Amino acid sequence: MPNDYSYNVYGLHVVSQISCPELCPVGHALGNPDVTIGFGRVPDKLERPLKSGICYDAKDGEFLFHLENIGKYWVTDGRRICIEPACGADESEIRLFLLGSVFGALLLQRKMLPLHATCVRKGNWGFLLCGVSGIGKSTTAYGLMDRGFDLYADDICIVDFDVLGLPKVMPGLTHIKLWRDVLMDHRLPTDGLVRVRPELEKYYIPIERNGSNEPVVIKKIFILKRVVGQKVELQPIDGIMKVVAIRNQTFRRQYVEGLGVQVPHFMGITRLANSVSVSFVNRPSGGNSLDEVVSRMAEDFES
Amino acid sequence: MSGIVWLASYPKSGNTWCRLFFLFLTRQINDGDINRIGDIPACYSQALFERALGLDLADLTLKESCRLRPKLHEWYCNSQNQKPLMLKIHDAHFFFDDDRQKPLVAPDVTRGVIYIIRNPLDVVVSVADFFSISIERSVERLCDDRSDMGMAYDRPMRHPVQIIRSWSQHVVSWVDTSGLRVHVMKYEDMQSRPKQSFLQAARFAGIDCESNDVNRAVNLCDFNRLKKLESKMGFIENRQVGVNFFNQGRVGRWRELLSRRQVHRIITEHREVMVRFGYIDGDNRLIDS
Repeated sequence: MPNDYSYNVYGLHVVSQISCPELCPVGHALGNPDVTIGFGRVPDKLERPLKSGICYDAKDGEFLFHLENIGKYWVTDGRRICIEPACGADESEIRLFLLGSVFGALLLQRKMLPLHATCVRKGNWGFLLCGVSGIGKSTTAYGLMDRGFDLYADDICIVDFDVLGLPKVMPGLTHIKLWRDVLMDHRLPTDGLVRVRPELEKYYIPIERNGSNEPVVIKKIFILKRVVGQKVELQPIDGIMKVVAIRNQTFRRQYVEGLGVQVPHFMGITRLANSVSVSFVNRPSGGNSLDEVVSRMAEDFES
Repeated sequence: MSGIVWLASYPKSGNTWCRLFFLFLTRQINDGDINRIGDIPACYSQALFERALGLDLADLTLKESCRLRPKLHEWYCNSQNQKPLMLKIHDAHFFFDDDRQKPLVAPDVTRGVIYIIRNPLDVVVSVADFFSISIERSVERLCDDRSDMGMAYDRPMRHPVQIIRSWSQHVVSWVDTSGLRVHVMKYEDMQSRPKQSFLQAARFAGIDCESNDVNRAVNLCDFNRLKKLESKMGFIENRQVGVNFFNQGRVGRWRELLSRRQVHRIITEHREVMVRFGYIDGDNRLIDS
């Protein structure tokens, strides 16, 4: 169709009826797309879902996401996303949930391995910063950028393996989402920045990958954790604990069971666990320990 | 009868203590596992919300996350198996609409409400300690009918907004206007006659237990024991460095810390409810618990 947009993200060729400035455009024909995104009628719910949450239904090959005043999204076979926007929904809001939860479901349907993480790199190597929302992944990443690291990917990090079996992260969205307070801490002005939603003080910031969109090999995974205690600690983990810890970082882990992809998902997790070292970064639950967290991680990465 | 047993209270009124009691009573946690307090989650817990929603709470506006809360309760009620099903809540009970058709906590997901009440003069002191605010600011909070938690932040990251309201409005909203089955439990009774007080609460919650089980759980919840455990291994609910969560817990500490003017303000604002629950008499004289 003449008005469609063509993108490359997570190694997938995406053709979309909705313009997505957060994806990397491709200007030339790439053959048949891996994924199509269009508008159309979407059912209110799935018939006989395997698992449902407040905003989703999931079953083998089908996923439905719905949010009042935003819209409904129907994902089938890891290949098609159909959107029925709610009346008056803002396009930036439709994209926010499309490129987050909805894409997360699509990637799981394709048996890919999406982790909820921020990826930073130095040279050809990178590491993943994981942890629950609000734990300080973005702030830590910006702290590391002051120490010579580049920001490579944020939010969804797709892990794949190269021919040598090394785990690597595929290039994802071209923007990171940052809250106003983080921008202020790093003296970044909000002038001219686009909000992720009109009502939220959260903005899209372009990720500058220094012209390189090559996958980054993962040297290490750090999982940020708030703990009871007084000091910052790096706690290496191994064995089954490591597998569980990585599994817990899956982007939208609650979808896995409903989509019926537990087996390939678990195989991907165990393969990753066998390929990288993983440490918890224990942060005291009170006080501000960010500088120390950044120093300890940078030292550990260089060692 | 199924549904959620709500542990409802104004903040810093003994909710954590009560949660630990029920976790010990039902043997959901081992004797030293105070950091598994989250096994009775708060209904505004980020982790619980995100698991139920299937999206990042941070992507929702404050209004959206607030309006989704009844759906979270419904989801929790339908998706969890443990008995009794308990949730902690600090909100005042409220309705989303003027017709009172859309309550925050609906009767059809509720087995009952254990409402924990504490002398507001002691609550003032405990709120000031916990939130690191002045006594004066704490007095303001207890008297502010628009008081909330969460709105003050730039980012709705960790929790949806909790609508607290004034201390009196909080009590009345649950005990009188919620339309729910409510058992009132006084903090002062939890201290002075714990076995009787907790036994009544356990029976209200529909827990099949003997007085020996209650005695055991009460002993495990002894304030000094909890304080020692916190000193040894820390406590996950504590948000301050260098100050214990299980700090003082004494009844009547306000006498050392509140000015006469502050005491007068609290009594004037909350007279009716304080008389009703035996904290002052009809002549505004304080009744020792």
